[in-house]
Amino acid sequence: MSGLRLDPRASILLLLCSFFPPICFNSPLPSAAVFAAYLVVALIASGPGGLRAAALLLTPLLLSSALLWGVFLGEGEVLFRLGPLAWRDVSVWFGLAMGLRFGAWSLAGLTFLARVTVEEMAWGLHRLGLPYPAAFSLSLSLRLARQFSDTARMVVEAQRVRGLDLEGGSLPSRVGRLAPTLVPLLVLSLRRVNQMAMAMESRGYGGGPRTSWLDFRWRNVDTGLLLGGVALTMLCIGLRWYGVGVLLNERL
Amino acid sequence: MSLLSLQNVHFTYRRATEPSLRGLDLEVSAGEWVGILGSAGAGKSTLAGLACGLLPRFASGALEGRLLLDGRPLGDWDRAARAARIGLVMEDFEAQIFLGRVDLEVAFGPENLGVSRPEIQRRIRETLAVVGLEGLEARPPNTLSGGQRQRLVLAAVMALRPALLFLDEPWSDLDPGGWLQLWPALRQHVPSGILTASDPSHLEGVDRLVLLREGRVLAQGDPASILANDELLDRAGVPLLPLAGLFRNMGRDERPASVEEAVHLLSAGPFDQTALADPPSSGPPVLEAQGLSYVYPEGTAALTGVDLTVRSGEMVAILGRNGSGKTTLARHFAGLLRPTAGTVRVHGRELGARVAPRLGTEIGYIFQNPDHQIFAETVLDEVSFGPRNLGCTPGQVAERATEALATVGLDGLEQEDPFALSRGDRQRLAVASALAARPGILLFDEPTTGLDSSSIAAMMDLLHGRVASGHTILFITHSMELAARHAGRIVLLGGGRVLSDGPARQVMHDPQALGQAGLRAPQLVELAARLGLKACHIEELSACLA
Repeated sequence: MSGLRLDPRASILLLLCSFFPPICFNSPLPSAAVFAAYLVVALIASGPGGLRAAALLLTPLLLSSALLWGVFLGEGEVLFRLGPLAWRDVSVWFGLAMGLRFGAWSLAGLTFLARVTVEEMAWGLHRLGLPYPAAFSLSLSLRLARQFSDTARMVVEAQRVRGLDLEGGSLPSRVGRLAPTLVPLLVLSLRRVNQMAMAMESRGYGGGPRTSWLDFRWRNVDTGLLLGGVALTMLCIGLRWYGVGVLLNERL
Repeated sequence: MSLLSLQNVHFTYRRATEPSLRGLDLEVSAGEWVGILGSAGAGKSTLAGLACGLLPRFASGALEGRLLLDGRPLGDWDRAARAARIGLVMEDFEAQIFLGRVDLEVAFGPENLGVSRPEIQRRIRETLAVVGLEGLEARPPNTLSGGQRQRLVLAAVMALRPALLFLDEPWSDLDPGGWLQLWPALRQHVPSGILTASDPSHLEGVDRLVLLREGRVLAQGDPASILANDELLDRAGVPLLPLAGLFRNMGRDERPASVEEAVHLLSAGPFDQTALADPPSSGPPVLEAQGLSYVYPEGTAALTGVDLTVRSGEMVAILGRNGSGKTTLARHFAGLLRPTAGTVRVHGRELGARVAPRLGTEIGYIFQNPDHQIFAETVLDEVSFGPRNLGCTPGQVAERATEALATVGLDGLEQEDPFALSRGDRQRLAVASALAARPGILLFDEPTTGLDSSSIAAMMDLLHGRVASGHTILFITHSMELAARHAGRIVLLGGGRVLSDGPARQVMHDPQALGQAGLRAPQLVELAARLGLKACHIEELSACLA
């Protein structure tokens, strides 16, 4: 399955479907089951290496969610107290479910990005009805983010070698010291965007009907996976309707 | 009928006090390649923007005159049709790459023109072969070297199959010799074109030469006759070709077009080589790399076991092809990278994991693009930034800033807006900013990129002045001429290793080592070698041949 290439339209629609199962449950066990399923798919799609960085993000997300909801939701019996703060059982379970929900969404996004390039995403969005300039602009903005981060690194290095220390002191003072990096970054970015627009126009962008070098054929596997995704979504919505996997009914 | 016709064109950018083009007339016919030669500010890039229909849309200004493409006013063309007739490659190649795979980048133009998939496939294959990138179709452009990315931009524009290709100094990051390989292929595959340069060496082989000065055509015609006219070139502020420069320096009237011809004219030896002397390098070590290896996080091994010692008072050039590890090495010396293996020492002290705030007092690092650091509202504030960071008192800050500005020749401009300075002056400002911290060592990453000949001469004079006052200088360059003319010592890098290291004279006259690094000696060194001389540059050759 790791070598399977889906039609980008199928990938986009599956990503859309993937939003619903986590939101249908707010009890930790079914949420953990959904999370585990998403984790397996993500592992197959991007490999363990790709998940290593995600684990660094997901673990604190899960813990902080349980800790914060556990204190501030105020549902259930008190499990333990720390000064004025009290953690309640239902609240902690709910918090865990929320952490797993956000984790599952993160894994779905990671799986999507691991399997679909920004150009394929633009192609898919266009074929799903988004005007090409809007789809292309979206993909270009994702690509520009990387270029801006490279430029920012160079600008910060150029100021660090002039003695700018961005690593010491309090947070407000460090933010204040960023000022000398903002002007060059802004100037370089504006110049880059202008040059890029010139280059695009000189290569005929926006001139009229266009063809596409990228080409995908919708196959049975796309239909099968999409139907599976829709069925799973309907099942989860149905379960929610009947109150299965719900810890607090009045909360999403 | 002309393919492109510009008639009495005037253009003044909004907020500019002087016009960039003043009554420019230019005709380009089908089947000819025209070279536009002019110094910085002559109007070359403005001409490119206007000829390709991008100005004044992308940079507002007042336009007068007639611009015709195939006899039709340029404004009447729709974008796709215009792009299919005239293609543009700009100097800043990074801004011209916006897709995530080499084949997609090349396909982008033909897609916009509505070209069929089989034809796009053919164009991708053919253009990548022309620029030497065949087999790299599936690579993300950000994994290519700078030179390869520049070739990719050329391929992407060539895939439009334009009748006329406008190349605005398209070689800033190409390997030495890379342009010489590309140029014949371009001529073969694109019927007509315009090529701009501030150095005539890049324009060899054009059919017609147009000399531009302050937005006007100073002269145009046969390249050989224009390039042999010293007075015209001087008025345009552009350098002579190296061999012509040598003969003028020797007070001779001949202007040889090739090394062969020059040898024929000069073969009346024996010659005196007593004037040739290498600078001493007996100072204490100031920069040391021992067993230095570096692997980038994505897995690219940039340096492997580099051993290098730079001594006080040396002027060292680091040469090598794209991706050879030049910038990675310099960034280690500046404390911006931590070695994967090995050590880096500055004045005998091993560098730690991060840049020490006071490292700037020992090493000044001047980036290739001065705009990466300029942020202040005045020149004086910009130069004062470093000393302030070092905790100097207001009096010391003022004293250091004034001294640094005087050193680079920017005194009197203290209250100017740094962004309003020319590129050459912004580069000098970057040097002044580094000097204000009073470092003993200066590292330059491509100190002359984007500068015209007079700015290059001024910059290199500045570097020599620093060496004379006791600084140690290490500069990275693509220019063999620059290294041969100015460096006392040359370090050749290839594949992240030191391939050769020695006095400039020794390295420049070692064709085997240069070949191993994928480089070639400059024309004057070739001439010297043919005459049995060990000279490296124009002054040395002139002295030997006098």
